[in-house]
Amino acid sequence: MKTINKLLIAATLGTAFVGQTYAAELDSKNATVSMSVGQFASITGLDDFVLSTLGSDGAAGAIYSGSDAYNLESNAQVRVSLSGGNLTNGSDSVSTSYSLDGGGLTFDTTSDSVHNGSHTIAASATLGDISAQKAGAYSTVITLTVASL
Amino acid sequence: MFKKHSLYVTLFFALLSPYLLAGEYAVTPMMIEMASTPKKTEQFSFQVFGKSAGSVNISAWDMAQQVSGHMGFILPEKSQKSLASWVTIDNPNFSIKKDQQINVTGTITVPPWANGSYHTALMVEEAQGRDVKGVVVNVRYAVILNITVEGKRTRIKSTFRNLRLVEQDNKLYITGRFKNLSNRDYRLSSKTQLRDSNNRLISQINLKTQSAWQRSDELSRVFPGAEVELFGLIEKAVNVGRYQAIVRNNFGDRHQPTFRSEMVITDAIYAATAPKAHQKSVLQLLPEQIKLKVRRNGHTSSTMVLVNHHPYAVDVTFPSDSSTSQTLLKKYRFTPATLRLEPNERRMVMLKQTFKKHDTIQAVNHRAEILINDQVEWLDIRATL
Repeated sequence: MKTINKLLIAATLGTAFVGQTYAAELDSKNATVSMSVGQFASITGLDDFVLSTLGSDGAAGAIYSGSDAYNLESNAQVRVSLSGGNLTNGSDSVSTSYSLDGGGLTFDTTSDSVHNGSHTIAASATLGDISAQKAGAYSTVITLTVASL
Repeated sequence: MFKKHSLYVTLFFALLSPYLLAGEYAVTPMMIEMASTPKKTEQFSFQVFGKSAGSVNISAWDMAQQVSGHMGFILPEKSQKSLASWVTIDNPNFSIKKDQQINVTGTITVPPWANGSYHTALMVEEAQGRDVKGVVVNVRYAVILNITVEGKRTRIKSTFRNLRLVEQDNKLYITGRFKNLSNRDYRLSSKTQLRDSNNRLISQINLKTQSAWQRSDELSRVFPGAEVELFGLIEKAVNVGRYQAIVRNNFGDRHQPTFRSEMVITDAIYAATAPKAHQKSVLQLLPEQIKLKVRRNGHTSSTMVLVNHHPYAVDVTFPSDSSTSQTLLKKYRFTPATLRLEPNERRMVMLKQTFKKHDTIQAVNHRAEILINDQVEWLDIRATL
């Protein structure tokens, strides 16, 4: 009986081994697995913002400034560009300038790299003479464009 | 009156804006590349993820490469030439909830005459519904459709023009205009050699678009029909004079015609852009301290080399027995006594001295007079035993 059991066990193991060998032969062809990940970008935490001055309120030449921080996350190089005009109130306008990260109006994330970082957008408006702009609510829409080119 | 106005302006600036959050979305992919043939309609899709709830508006814009190399987005014209007019978006307006993903689909129909590479931008932005108060920030994502339409590939052709020197922030740049006359976009490698009148290579400069410099790209991408400004910094100080600039452009792995132009470094350009250290080293004395070779009977002899790094010719007058009083020296002589050095020229000078006492030979310094542009300067000639 013991001999029969041993033979059965040996036969089972042998079959399993032979089966694995056949499987290895059958799997000898290569399969290429590939995946394409699309370029992804997202800006979060960006609010509309207000300009205020630390100098003499409303004085000729007074500078009003404001800024906001936001987060840019991307899995490839992207370009962020800013466009915007002067603050206006009807036909009156106040000379306004903008910057991204304290520099120009565009910046590029590092080439061939992911990105997840905080950035700032800032605006600065300079009043003309007292009579150069009427009192009122001044506003503007600025556009931040995220693109892969 | 002043106070009243001030108060109003201050109040209204201070009270601006309800501080609404700009629409928060994420978009993928940002670039869709496809190949097509004339008269064919292709489908495309991309996803918008809502990071906060809001309304989304999607519109097709034309794109045009700017002189800086950046891509500009233009509201489409009602013309077949407008690539945006080829595009139809199935769901251009929709509301999105936080964490919701919406698949945007559409088609692009290629007109029969199309041939080459084309780009259009599908602008994903928040539908304008907010009150415009203060600085309202509108964030938009440009999903770029890059479509290459099969057809006869035109020969890669380009033009190059207007090579010139530009001085900016005390730095000297060389710049020129490159235009892609082909119907596909390619990458451009542009190198400029600056050679002097003896055809010696003075400087080699890589030229790229502003966009390529900002992106740290090796090459500049130039789209069909676009003309871009290329520039590069001349890092080496270049003396006043006339130079030959030779521009070699390799576009889409094809050599383009070599462009040659004469460049003139004027006094004003040199003064504004050459490093101050370079400007000061008018004359270089080699070695810095001349070595005295002591011979018999109190005689010494030495040689030195003078190199003129200045962009101007320099006249050098060495001192003589009659012009200076030396207590230690019986006599001395520089040969030649005077000389003129052109820019970048070098000449050897010999100094022979006889000391009054044989046993009191020691290093004696001299001073030569230099005349540059009618201005007198002095060159100290220091000696060592």
